[in-house]
Amino acid sequence: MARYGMAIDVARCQGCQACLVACKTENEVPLGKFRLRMREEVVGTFPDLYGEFRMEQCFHCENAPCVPVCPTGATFQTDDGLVLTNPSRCTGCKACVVACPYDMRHVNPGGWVDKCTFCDHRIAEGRQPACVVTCPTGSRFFGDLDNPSSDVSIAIASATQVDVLKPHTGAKPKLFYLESKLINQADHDDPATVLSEFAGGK
Amino acid sequence: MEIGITGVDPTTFPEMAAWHWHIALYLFLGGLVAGIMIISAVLRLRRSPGFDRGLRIAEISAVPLACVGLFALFLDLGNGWNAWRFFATFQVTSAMSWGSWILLFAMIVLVVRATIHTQDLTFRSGWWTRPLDLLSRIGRILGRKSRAIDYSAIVLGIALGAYTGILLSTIPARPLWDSMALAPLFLVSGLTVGGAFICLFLEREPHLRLVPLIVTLCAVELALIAGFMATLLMGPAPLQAAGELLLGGRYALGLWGGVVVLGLLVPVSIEIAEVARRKVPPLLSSIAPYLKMSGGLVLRFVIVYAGVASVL
Repeated sequence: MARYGMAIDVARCQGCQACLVACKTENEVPLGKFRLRMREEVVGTFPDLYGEFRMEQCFHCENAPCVPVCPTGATFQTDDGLVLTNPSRCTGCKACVVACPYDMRHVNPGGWVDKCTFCDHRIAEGRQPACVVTCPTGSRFFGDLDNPSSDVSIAIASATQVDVLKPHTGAKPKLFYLESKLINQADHDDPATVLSEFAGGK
Repeated sequence: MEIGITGVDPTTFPEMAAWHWHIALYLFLGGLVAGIMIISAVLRLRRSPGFDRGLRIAEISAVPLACVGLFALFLDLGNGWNAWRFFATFQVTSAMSWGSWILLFAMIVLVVRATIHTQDLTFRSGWWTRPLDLLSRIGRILGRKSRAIDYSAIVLGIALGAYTGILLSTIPARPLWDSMALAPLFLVSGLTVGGAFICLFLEREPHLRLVPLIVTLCAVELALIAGFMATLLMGPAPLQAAGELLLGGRYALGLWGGVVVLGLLVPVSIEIAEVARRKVPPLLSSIAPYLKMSGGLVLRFVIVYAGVASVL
């Protein structure tokens, strides 16, 4: 069985949000709703600035906190590690919404809880998720984390900095951020340190 | 540092999609009904004289109160027509699944107990009273097992009251709810408001006999609120930040003013003065139970809203 995961190279991401639009189109996400969001962080004082774009979506956590709280079994984890929701079993009770430490779930106008599926329908056809194939800078990598020759494993292995969001939650997210200078840094709130590292090309 | 976020929807602002007043009201009414179940069952098992009228009204009222709570829950569901799914499965890891089944059995016991106590009611004869007469007859039959039903009411009342807190405390993503004190706090608060509700229908003498129990419950509730705050403020950074929301943040007035002062200290002071035979203005005396019930309601609102706003 595969263990699907994704990595985003923050240094390559230009914040164009083509992935967000591709996701909406591919998955027919309703008007006003999004499965992805973009976070833009900027440190420093003009003209000495450093910024990063960070695309966030369901992290398909290994210890997904949204799964055990579901009272109807609508939210479940596949053998491939994907965390999915079965709309026909979902009551829209929102237990999973409050249980997600990343706040990546929302209620679809149809009443059921919606989120990124890693485009499981495309995976079943042997294709990559829509956000991955759309990214114009090639900042997204997807594949089997257990397969060392998969795109995502190669990207993670060759990165100098690999982070996950909120590691202290114990959720073990399977979406990794590469080459970020702002995520989980002890000096996160100290722009001078980040800027000096940036200037030094670290 | 500046942070910009694209997309104004619940994915970006989860407070738009998470639990709101429906859940707070549901948890309050669940606790109130649990309190009524436990206190009324204990008093009936002890065969305490003078309580019968008040207990009967409270036990019959508990059914519509529980129905209002369930209706609030129904309104909160994004897909209410799928609500039957709660009873098509049992998910052992989900507190809400446990709660659904506890609520189902509690509702059965509530209806049975209400039916038992309709046997004492008399109706003017007419075609429209026939269903009520039938209800009385069923009540008389069920009344033969009233002690067993009272024991089951205590067990299910404790399960229901504790569940209202456990539902929140099993969600680790909200640090404000990450406290072992929440289940006993909501259970004891349910007993406090349940007792206050019963007192609304009691004569003065039995009411005063109930005061020592109610004052003890209020004291325990205050201690549990202190314990709850201590677990937050002495915990890791996210829990401390969540505690700050209640200590001096935008929910502080609700907790300390609405729950602790107006909902517990003021009504307890009034009732202690009454027991001590001090002169208490009748208006103050009559509002004490309402103050306690308002405090219980505000407690659920504060904990639900502050919890949703707290993040890891």
